[in-house]
Amino acid sequence: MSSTIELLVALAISSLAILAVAWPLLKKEAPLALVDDDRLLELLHRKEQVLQAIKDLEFDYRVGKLSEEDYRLYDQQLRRQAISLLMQIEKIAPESAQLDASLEQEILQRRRVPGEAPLPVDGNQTDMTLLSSTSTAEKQANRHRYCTQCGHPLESSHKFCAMCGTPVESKAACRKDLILII
Amino acid sequence: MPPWRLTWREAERKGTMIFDIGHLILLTAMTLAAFGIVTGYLGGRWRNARLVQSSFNAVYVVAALVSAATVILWYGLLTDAFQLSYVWNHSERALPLFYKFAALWGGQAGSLLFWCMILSGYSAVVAYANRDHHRALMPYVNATLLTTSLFFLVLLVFAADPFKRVGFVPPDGQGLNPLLQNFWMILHPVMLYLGYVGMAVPFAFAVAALLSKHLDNEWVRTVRRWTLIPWMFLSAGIIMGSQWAYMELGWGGYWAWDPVENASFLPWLTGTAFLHSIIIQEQRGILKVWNIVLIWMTYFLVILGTFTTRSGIIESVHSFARSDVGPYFLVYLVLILLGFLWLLFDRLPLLRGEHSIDSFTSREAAFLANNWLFAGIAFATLWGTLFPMFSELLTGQRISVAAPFFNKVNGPLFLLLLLLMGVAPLLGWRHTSLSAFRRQFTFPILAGIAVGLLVFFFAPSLYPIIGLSICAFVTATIVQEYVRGVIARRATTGENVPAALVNLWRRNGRRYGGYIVHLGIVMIGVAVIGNEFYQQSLSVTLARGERAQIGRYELVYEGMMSARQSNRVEYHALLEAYNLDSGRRVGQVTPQRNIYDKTPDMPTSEVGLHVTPFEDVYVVLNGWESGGASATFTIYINPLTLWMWIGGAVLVLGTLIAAWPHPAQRRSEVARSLAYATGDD
Repeated sequence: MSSTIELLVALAISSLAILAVAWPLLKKEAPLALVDDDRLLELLHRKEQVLQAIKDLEFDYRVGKLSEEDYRLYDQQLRRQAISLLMQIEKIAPESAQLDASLEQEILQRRRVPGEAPLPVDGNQTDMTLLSSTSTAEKQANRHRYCTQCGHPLESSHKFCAMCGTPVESKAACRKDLILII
Repeated sequence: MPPWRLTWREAERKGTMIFDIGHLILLTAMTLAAFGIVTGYLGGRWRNARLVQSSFNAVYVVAALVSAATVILWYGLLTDAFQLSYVWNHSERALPLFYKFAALWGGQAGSLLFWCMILSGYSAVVAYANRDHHRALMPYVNATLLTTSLFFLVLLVFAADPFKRVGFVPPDGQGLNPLLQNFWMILHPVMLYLGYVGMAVPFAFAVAALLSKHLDNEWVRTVRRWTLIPWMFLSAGIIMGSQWAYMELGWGGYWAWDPVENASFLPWLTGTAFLHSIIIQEQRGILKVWNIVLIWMTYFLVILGTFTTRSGIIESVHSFARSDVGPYFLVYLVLILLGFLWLLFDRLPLLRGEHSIDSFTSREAAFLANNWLFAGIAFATLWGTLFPMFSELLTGQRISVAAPFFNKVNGPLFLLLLLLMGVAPLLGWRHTSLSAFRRQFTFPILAGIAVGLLVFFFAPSLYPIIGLSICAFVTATIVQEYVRGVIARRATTGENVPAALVNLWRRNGRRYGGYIVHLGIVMIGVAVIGNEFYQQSLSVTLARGERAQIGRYELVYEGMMSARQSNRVEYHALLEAYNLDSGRRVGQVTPQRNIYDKTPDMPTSEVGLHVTPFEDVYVVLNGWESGGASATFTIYINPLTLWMWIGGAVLVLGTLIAAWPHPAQRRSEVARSLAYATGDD
């Protein structure tokens, strides 16, 4: 008797396993095609990397690993790269650039230092271009806000973060940071 | 024997049904793994969501099935099911429960099953964690991981069946190898396997990047954490293995460059090189081909290591010919080699670097040198490990290369590597100017020179002076990096020192966790130098009450005592240890020998230890006469050994800091998946 039960158990396990794997192929709904915009994804990844590289470069400069001259040179190179990437992203998918800009702004906000002297970045044409290229994104960014402490999304009416209770900074301050750092 | 060859009545009588279910489960898992490979590959190629989903399900189901099979074997071990050949050969009734549990990885079939369980577990976790990310890569990642699982399942079904029966029910088993009956031997294989097997994950991402032609840095960013965690387990596994060798083998050391040790060390070397060189790819967009080659080498060495230890080829070419699993491994290794080379050459045009190295005084140049050194050490170690096999194949004579070969070749390379560990963090990316150079190097170099001068008075040769100076240099680098990092944070944020320190870890855990790992390596380096150059030893026979002196210690032999345990008799020698400098008794040292009932001709040794931060008093009991009236010992003073184990713990801590996701990263991952969402469905 017990052998019959065990046989049934064995068959049940195998059938269930096979069914679980085959199930997506047996479903009646029309098959979904996976469509990813590869080009856009690659650009977003590269942009994120360049932003990280700018951050790292700045930190290296602060801890004395780079001379000011080298810092200016490499920082300019990286910023030029970031601008060209942002422009390409904006061209392909404006909505993605805006979505991302909200995050970017947040990163920039985190790096804001009260009363700190600005880093030695030349206020030349390149920076202006970047600023103008993100001006639409900036509007969007103010709609998509996140807590500066814990990253929780914020509603426009919130004065404090619902997750950690940190006071929400004013929009004016945010905009100033964006301009200051970019 | 498969279930259909056995009548149900017979099966019931022998109580083996459950194990036949185990076999059937493995068979089902094998079939579904093969199916999942096809759906994963085609799903990725055709971008068909149904096929892809089926490959995900295959990964989950294979993991569940292999885990179920493992549980069934555990059940067999814990219930003394000696009708199973595996249980009969690797367990016994009197074996403590703890070791019955660990007997799963005490023999070939069980350890292969354990391998497969960990792999399928990793695969399921990777698949689940990335179910909404990396949609172009994941189908191929699933297919590649399932391919490795399939290979092990084929082994388990056809060559090393853990549920194979003896044909009758023996009254008792033959017992577990006594050498494996040690606490560290329980933890060590688990850690090692978690590390070893986990390296299949970054390899799967690399293959997925090649297959999908998504050869930007996406895969590199993704695998960083999936490499760090197995790397941490592998490092911990190697350290625990050393601890086991130190405590159990009783020859005074912890590392002998034997083939089994090398099998675990080789993927560690290439894996460590990979962890460093992906940073350069992320930062500078170079070394793309090299990174793919490195992770492939790591995976290849993992399979090769399993092959060399499991097929017996290292002991003798002839035992390989007799082994059941050897030919399977050989075929799989050739397939990995050819398949990978074809794929790499086919995709070579897509792997061009975006930049080149600007200057030799840059961090990327130092990282590149680090990579070459790791590769050099790996090559020398591989050559030394396989040399006996080649010599036997070509000349018919087995010529082994021993520890001196490895020490002579790898010693200087390790010293250079240690030096680079201090130099690289001080350099900036791209270029380091002369003024920055001076600012960065002055303190670490002074620290190195100061320690070098201090050691000069105690040094038996040049090596320890250089070695310890470099250790001091690296430590000073790490301290300087932390101090400057904290100062920079305080200047910009006004945080207090502990907050600045914690935030360095949170915001830049990769760099500052990495420094902690380096500190752990320096500690291990110090222990190696201490043991290599300052070890003292003495062989002595003592009658009861007699004393022996070594270094600043005196040991008095007090006599022997024995204790009966469930499956063995333990013989303890009692020695009182005195510190001659202080004239005080520092404790009792009790080396022991165990004689196991099942294998009386294989007595094992447990060393007696007195541990201090400066040195270990390490006593091995070699034998005794007249019921313990006199006994023979080998006594060692092993300087600074404790730092090896502390260094291991520090290394694990540093890796955890480096692998911990910090808040900004977590959010940007969310953002990426949101950006993804805009592109599909």
